[in-house]
Amino acid sequence: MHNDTLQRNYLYQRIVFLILKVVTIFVVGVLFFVLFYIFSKGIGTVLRGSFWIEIPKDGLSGGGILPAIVGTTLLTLLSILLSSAVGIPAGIFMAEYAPKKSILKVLVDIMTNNLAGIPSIVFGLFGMSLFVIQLNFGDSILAGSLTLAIMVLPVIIRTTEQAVKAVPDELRLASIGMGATKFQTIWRIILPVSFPRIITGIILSIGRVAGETAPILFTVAALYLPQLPRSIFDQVMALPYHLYVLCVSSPDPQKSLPQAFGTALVLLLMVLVLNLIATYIRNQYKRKYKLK
Amino acid sequence: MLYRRSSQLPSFFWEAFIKTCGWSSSVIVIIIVLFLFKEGSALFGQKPLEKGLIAAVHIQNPISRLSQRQLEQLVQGKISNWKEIGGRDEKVEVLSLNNLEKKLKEWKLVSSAPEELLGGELEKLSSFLDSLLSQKPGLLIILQQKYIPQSAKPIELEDITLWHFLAGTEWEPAESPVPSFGVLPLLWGSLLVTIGATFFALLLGPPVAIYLAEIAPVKVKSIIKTMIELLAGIPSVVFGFIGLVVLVPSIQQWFNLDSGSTALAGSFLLAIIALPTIISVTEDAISDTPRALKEASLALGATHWQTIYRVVIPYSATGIIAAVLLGVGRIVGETMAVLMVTGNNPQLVGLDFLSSVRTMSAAIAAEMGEAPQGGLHYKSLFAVGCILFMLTFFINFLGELLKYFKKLQ
Repeated sequence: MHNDTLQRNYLYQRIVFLILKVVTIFVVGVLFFVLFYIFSKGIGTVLRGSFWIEIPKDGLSGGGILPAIVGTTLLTLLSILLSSAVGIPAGIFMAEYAPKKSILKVLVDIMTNNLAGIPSIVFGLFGMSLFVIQLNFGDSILAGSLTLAIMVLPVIIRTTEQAVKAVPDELRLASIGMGATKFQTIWRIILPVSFPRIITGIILSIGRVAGETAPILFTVAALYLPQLPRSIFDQVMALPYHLYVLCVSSPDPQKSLPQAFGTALVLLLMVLVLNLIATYIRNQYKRKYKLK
Repeated sequence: MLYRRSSQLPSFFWEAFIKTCGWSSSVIVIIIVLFLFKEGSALFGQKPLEKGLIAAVHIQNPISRLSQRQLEQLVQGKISNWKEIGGRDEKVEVLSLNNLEKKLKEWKLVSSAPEELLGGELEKLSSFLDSLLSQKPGLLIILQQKYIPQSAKPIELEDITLWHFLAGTEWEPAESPVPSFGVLPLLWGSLLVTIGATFFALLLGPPVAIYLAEIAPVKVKSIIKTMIELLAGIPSVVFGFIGLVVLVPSIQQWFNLDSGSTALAGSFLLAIIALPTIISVTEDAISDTPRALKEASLALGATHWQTIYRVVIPYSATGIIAAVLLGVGRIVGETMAVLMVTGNNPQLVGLDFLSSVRTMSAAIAAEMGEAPQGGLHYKSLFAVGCILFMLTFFINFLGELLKYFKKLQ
């Protein structure tokens, strides 16, 4: 009798674990499906060399995506630069300077989380209202980069904060024990040690910035622009917006489908490569400092 | 050499700089709130007509004041007689530049081109309306100031109110001459898609998290976690694209619909997009369960599953709810994927997941490009942005609060 209950319980367990496994396989399967589908359909377009170096032609159904690649690269570089310049010091401040458990720290924490939770389209509205109209930058690389920079700022602050916090206290104490000031400790010990993790965070943010569409809709993105930008006050095309345009407002969506698959594959490849680099750096770092 | 010199930088400046940066996120949030609410609140207190337009009626019409609701109903033909709103028994005819030619033909006042009657630049319109008003005293004219005839008096319109915006059931912001700004269809669209997405996310997220935290071997766990991170990195526009070429046609076939662009498609896509957040936060919460609790349960003879079900899940319940809330926060604000697969029809549909809806975020993304800067439509989209902001703020705040309580525990 007792044995029966036990057996039944183990049977339950086996069934439930099987269900959990199946759900996990399904989720991983969805990811594989997305990857495989876009790879198989887009690889033909991407392998055509002209796809990378030509401007779009024939009502968006031919040619390449060079202006979009250049645009996304410029936007990403500029916004990550701006965001890191503010976000890394802010992260150090949160980890090293802000007094723990003080109202100030809690307040800044709440605000940073709040900023991270704002929908990307709202950043777009804000960017348009402040940069494009109020500051009169117009639809420009500058306005778009600033908007994107504000969007990833909390991500960069958070990763820097965590990276700095992960530095073992022994290192800090040893440095201060040898007579170094706090400034010297941060500059010479903490930053070099946490650098790989900060870089990892920044690389992952690059992926996020490059793939965002909503914040650039009204701040920079151009539907079609046959030339490359000359200054930061020019409009540019961008990869994610180009993909959206190809699906939704192309003159002939069926004919521009191969172009859309190609663009999607380029975006995917970018995310894959960035993730690989980030994972590699993280592993190297773990090995070097023997961290868990 | 550079290194030595930099270490001599006065640390005072360094600290001042670092503190300024530390406050940056707070300052930015405040600026965002200021700008959003400044532009959004400008919608209220405005007349419900586009700038420069005036509504006028016959000078002897006893009606001198109209609410926005009445104006809308007059224009839509839902009020067809002035009697219904306390006027005289006269048939309502609405005349604006949009329907001028059509109406004139309907009344057989012009045969072909209205230019001979009104002049090429409409310079004779005003005097023509004078004579028309005497024939049709029930006329409601919505035109620029310069065309309003002598025998008509302008009607005082009530301002657009917050209530009208929040409780309005029609979203026709580009309608001319009288647009309607009722946010309910958009709000319901967002809500419907969010309900659906939360359902799918609850079905898929926690099981994966439990599997990863409790059951999966270390190697499998690290591989799957890397993949989930990858899933989180895929841009939403790529999901939207996949949804458009795979999910939408499939839904159309399965349910035999005219179009597969439905709330259901949006729900499923959003669930996939929110999964990485939900899985990783849930997994953290589950992994936080003290080992002693689990071991105590196992020592009492409980199976692994009983331990998970009776000990681990109740212990991490707050964390799991927080995870779901954070996921929902992402779902509500997600734009591109929903914009591409939900069909974008702003309508109140009840709980019908197989109909097309337009969410708040999609409305902003789709319409802002066409809305003239500073106009009513533009301001109304900012007002929608404010609602979106407050909604996500509230949801995320709840999630963070729960996470905080979890920590206290």
